[in-house]
Amino acid sequence: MGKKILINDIEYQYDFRQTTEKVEITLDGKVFNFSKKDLNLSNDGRHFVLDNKDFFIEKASSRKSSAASEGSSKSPMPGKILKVLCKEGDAVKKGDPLIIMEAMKMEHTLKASKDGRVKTVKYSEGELVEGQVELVELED
Amino acid sequence: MNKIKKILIANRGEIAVRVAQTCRELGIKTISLYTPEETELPHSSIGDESFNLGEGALSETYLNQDLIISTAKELGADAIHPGYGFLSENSSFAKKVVAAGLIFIGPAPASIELMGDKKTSKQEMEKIGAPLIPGYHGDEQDGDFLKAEASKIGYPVLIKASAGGGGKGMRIVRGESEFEEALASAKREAQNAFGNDIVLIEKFIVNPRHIEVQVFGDSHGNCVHLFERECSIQRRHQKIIEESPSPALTPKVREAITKSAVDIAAGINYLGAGTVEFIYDEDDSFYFLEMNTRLQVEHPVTEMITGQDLVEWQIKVAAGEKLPLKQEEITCRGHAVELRIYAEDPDNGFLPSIGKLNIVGEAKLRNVRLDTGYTDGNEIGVSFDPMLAKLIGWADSREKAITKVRESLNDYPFLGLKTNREYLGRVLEHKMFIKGETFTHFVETYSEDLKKPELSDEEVAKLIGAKHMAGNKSSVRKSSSTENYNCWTQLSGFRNC
Repeated sequence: MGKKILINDIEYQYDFRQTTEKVEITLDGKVFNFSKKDLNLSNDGRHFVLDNKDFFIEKASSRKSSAASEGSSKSPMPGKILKVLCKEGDAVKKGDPLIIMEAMKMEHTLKASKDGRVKTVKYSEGELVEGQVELVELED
Repeated sequence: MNKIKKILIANRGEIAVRVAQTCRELGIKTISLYTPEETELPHSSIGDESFNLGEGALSETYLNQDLIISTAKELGADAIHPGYGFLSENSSFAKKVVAAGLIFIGPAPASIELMGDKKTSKQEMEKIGAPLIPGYHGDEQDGDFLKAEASKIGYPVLIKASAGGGGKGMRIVRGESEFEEALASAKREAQNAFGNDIVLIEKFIVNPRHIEVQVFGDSHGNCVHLFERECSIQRRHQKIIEESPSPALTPKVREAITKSAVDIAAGINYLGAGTVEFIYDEDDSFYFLEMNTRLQVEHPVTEMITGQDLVEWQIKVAAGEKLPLKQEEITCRGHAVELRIYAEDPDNGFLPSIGKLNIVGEAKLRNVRLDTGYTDGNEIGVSFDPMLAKLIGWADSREKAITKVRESLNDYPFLGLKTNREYLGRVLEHKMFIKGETFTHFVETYSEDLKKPELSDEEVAKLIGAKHMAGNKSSVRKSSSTENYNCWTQLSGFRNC
């Protein structure tokens, strides 16, 4: 299992061999053979479509594992903080609303990703935030 | 149409492109608008002339009434087409357009004003005798009073912004204990979206369908309908799949609901294209919801089943002509389905996504139409609505129309960013959708079934293989069919049959 790849943020390990017409992929001890013609999927080099399903495929080294974002609550996209519903030290349960933000003229409620305690609230009401920034930090 | 030789299109994106298309077909010149950040987008150069609105907030660009009207005057336009959204349902804009000696391609300002306010429109509908849903539509906005009214109506109830639309400022309340928080949240969203936090409360129908009727009026006293559209498949209270005809209506109920819509439009002397929206209950009863005084996003399904061009109808009646057809000449043929393709992630709360749209794709099947305001290479940002395109397909039966749009999703991969394409495919393949058991809460009710399926090892292996073969070059998979008919040429002549 020499090679690594990220498909929709999930890491897979595999081996790859090819002949002029065929490709052989070994995954989890299982061997799959494909004719090269059948591997001609719609794609732009990163985004692939298989049976109308969308996949974003990247080299494993090019991104940090998505597991790193567990326990934090990030802004899904750029927008404005409308309401902060928690304060530092609050005990929260998974699914509790933490912050309401407005983006694309819609309200989005950020919910706790796990049970825990609010360690820091990094923004206050009325502030503008970028996408994918941590708004609330939770600790166990 | 001699009165209209040049039209300023006061909109952007797919609807600006759509209006310009009909104008070209009619030999009418157009002026398109754009902002400096939109110079790569097709609508910025779709007109015979293009005008740069400059930078700034929407109030200085697409909502800048005085700039738009003075531009129309300076560049010699006879009329302004507002599209949908933006200034399309702004009565003071319509008045200013007329006062400037131009034609507003839309209804009379009084109709916009009446229907723009949910409360006054319902009072007027009561006089006309339209079917209305039980609720409180008064001025009293005190929290405890509204809570008491909600209890009188009986839970579940719906709180809606009086000036609302598009699901903003709308909350379902299932029990008394949730009422206060929902009211506060609805009022806050309404205040932000519309600058007005007045709400109304209504009975909430448990298994509703959203069925709307396309109506048209002219200035000669004629008023007709062009059948119904069912738009029950919604997420966040916004439509994502629309079809015509509705799978729910018997001929008898269809006759009743279209008659009710025409009575409403005729009752207010409506001019131009309008849509009367109804909530349809399982027991065949239906209630007036609201009337949209503009061309709808989902108008193409009506065009496909009737063979008519609704933008052409709009321009003709705005120019003072009679409606092109009498009621008995308007026929419904086959079935049409529209899919709204959004830049969003349905597996992550339908959050909007951004990125570069590398490849849109192209139609490979007959009677398929893509209305879009984007082209290969465009950057998709957060400034505007995340709708990328509308994919519409027509066939002689509902089953075949569903298959056609589902297959066509493959022909439009929208490579480069996350879209709801895959999710739309899951809905189209759901057995309850196929049976026509469509309700406005379909997406929530079947959320478990509509989740992203697990990847099989073979799929993973195939994707890895495809990635190795692709390298960094992009390609769109060729379909076996190379036929690519334009829906308009395909359907021409159908008006006479």
